[in-house]
Amino acid sequence: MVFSSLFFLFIFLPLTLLLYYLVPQRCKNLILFISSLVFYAWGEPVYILLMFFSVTINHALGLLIGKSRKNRKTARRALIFSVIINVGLLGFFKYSGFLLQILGSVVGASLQNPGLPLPIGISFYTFQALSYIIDIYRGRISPQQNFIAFGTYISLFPQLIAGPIVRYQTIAGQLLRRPIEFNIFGEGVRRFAAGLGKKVLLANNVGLLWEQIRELPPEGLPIITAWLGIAAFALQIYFDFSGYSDMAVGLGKMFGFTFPENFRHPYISRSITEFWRRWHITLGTWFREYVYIPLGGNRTGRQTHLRNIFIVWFLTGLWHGAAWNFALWGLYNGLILVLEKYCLLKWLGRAPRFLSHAYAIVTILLGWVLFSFDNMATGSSYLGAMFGLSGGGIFNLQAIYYCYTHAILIAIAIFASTPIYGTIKQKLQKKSGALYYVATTLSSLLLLFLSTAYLVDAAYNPFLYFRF
Amino acid sequence: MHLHNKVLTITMLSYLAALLLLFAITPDRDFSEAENRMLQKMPACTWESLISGKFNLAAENYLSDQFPGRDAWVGLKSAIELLLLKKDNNGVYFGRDGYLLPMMEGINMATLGENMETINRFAETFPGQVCFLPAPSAAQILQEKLPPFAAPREQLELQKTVEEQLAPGIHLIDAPSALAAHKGEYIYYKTDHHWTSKGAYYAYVEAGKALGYNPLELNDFIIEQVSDDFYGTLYSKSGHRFARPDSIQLFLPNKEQSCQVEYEYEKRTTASLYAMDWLQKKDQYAVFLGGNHALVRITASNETGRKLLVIKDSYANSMVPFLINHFDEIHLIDLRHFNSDLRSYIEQHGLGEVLFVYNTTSFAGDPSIRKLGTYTKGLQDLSPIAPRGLGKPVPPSDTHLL
Repeated sequence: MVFSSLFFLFIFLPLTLLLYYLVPQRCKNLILFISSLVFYAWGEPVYILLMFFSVTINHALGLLIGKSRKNRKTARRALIFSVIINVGLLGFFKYSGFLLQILGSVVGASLQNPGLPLPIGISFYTFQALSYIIDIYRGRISPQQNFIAFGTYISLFPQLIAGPIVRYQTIAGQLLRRPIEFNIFGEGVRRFAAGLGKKVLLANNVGLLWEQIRELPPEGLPIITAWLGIAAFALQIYFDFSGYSDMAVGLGKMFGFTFPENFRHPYISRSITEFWRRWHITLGTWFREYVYIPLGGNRTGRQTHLRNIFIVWFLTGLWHGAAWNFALWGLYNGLILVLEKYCLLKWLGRAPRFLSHAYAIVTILLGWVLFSFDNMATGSSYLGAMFGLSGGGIFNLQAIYYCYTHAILIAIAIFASTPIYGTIKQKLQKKSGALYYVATTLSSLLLLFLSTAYLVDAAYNPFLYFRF
Repeated sequence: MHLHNKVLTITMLSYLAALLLLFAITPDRDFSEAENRMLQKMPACTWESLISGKFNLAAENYLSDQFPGRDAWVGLKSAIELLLLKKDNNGVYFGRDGYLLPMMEGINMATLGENMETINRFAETFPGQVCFLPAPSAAQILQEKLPPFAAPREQLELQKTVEEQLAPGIHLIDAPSALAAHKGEYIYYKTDHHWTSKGAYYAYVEAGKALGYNPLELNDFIIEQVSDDFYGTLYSKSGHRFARPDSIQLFLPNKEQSCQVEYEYEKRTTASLYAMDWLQKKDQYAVFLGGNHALVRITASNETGRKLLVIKDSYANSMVPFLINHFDEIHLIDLRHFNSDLRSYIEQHGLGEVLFVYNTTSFAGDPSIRKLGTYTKGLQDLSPIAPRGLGKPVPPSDTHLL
């Protein structure tokens, strides 16, 4: 199930909230655990077994490691076993097709891709489970004794499918005791409505533009169209991803949880270094904590430091998808970060604001081209088209058509990707509290209302005419 | 505690609950007039359907199809899109003067090549004259009605490809030029992808040159308007809820004429070319010959001694009322539904002339053209025809809609 669906919004969410608030305190986790399993099972019911297995084994291993604090050898074995299980499951379901393809090209045979559907959210909850196990091993947290509470942590539906990646230590306390009050619930509604609007009104609609442009043959694609297309993709992926995160944070609040923030206006960045402090923050934190620092971080000399950076970014790339273009996109980011670290950042700091901002945007957009074409040949011809190598000239009729039919939408999207709106709200709040509250309440309800219209029509079946 | 948080919480929860309640109490609809499709009914929940995920999908569709006030929500979205200056949706342009025009995208040039080859081979074997009438889409003829800067290149390329690849033995009827000469007139419906009776009339006049008849003049007809509330396929497909309806005109010849229409597969005979009861339904274009049928045989008392086989899609349905004035028999075959032995049918009825009437786009993507191969090769060589493009919503292959 996804949040941006009528079924979630009008059936799953109201029923879950109703049950959650009806039952006594000690049963609330159970309700959340069960409803999360239903949420998870909705698309691929069979995978409920996978989730159950994952919860059970990690819970047991967590307890074992916790008990073996004195006996480092047992703890270490349990840790390694747990890492193998978790990474193995992720590898099997997400990367087996990709690995077979590589193996096939090495031995020169075409191997059968098992073609397993990817279990929803597996990349997210596997990382949560790993962080839990590793933190117990490091003695930073004590294991959760209660199976239901642990199951709730791993499967918690608000952040199950698209993050944020919540470390156990962040919500350990909340799993036992959570505030239940209108204030937090109201904030949750506001946050959820904002996220829903981002996803349904902005991401889906700029996404339609990108879908059209990416289908065009890259030969003869004019420069303007190529840049418009990748800009549309950049807005789509930002609003989609951060919209989901906002909805997750908002839903979390409705159930009394406080999740970490995942995005902080990444497109206002003036360098890629800054971009990665603002983009998918919980993923960056995870890789720093559980890969980069254990590898030695930057404390072991320049060579190993560089090696560590590239390992982390190679993995970050692959985490986004099992294909070479994602790995390449990761390495591209790693390379730029190294360049910035060793020379560019000094210049960027001194450069005029618009120049460093333009540098960051262009670098990000070029990255999105790598990200969005899993066919490298098409991706590179698209890159060529952005620099006028396609022979399509600067623009054509179609480019003008795309521009003026999407100008307003893109203007709204760009505005919404900056912190200006937040600043305006703050100023309004200082000036007149009452007006501010009326305005934010109304705008949340309006977003909810408009999103409903777009969700109803999203189910518009393009094959309407089978009867004929 | 802030009052506004309380207000927001309560309003939001009541909103969700109210719509859920309305959904529960309003009766389910079978069919959406506006969208022209069957709506999902309450799915049965069985263990198998639950485990396979089929039930879940059906349940989601059920909720969105039967959502309270569905048409109003779709209208609201349509209004926002217009405010944002969007000029197309779901493969349909919002043109000028209330015209909705199909975008021609995702045409499969490979299928087109195969179809051209099939038709050329057919013409080689067929002893009599073969004519081909490509019916252009509105977007090709009414370019002035397109939104500013919209450029449907593919339609023109398509036209050119058809003209180039058609064997010289086949008589090409230049309907596009004939229609273009009258592009100021009401020759295409504004909300439907078909041509109007008047559009069909100009194609019929042009076809006279190839088929060798003297077409009737416009004033040989009494024009009867039978509908002024026709919302066609493009209206449904585009989600544009602010379009004006079309009117439907029938061109009835002055001189009294009797004919017999036999629907072969349905074993039904009528005395009229028009199925007036369709005017009360959604798809009013089906007033012409009751829509598409595998095989229709029309007999008229013209004493011309000529019999014509028309192999066609729905564009021909509104053209046949004109053609019938010049033949004793017209046999209409729609290959999408026709499953008989073509060769023996042609020989049995002594059909000496063939006219193909196909919308160019529909022809380019229609896999059923392959069935013509039965004429040249015999039935046994024909492998079953797999439906193409099912389940992939992106390229709006309009095959199913013509």
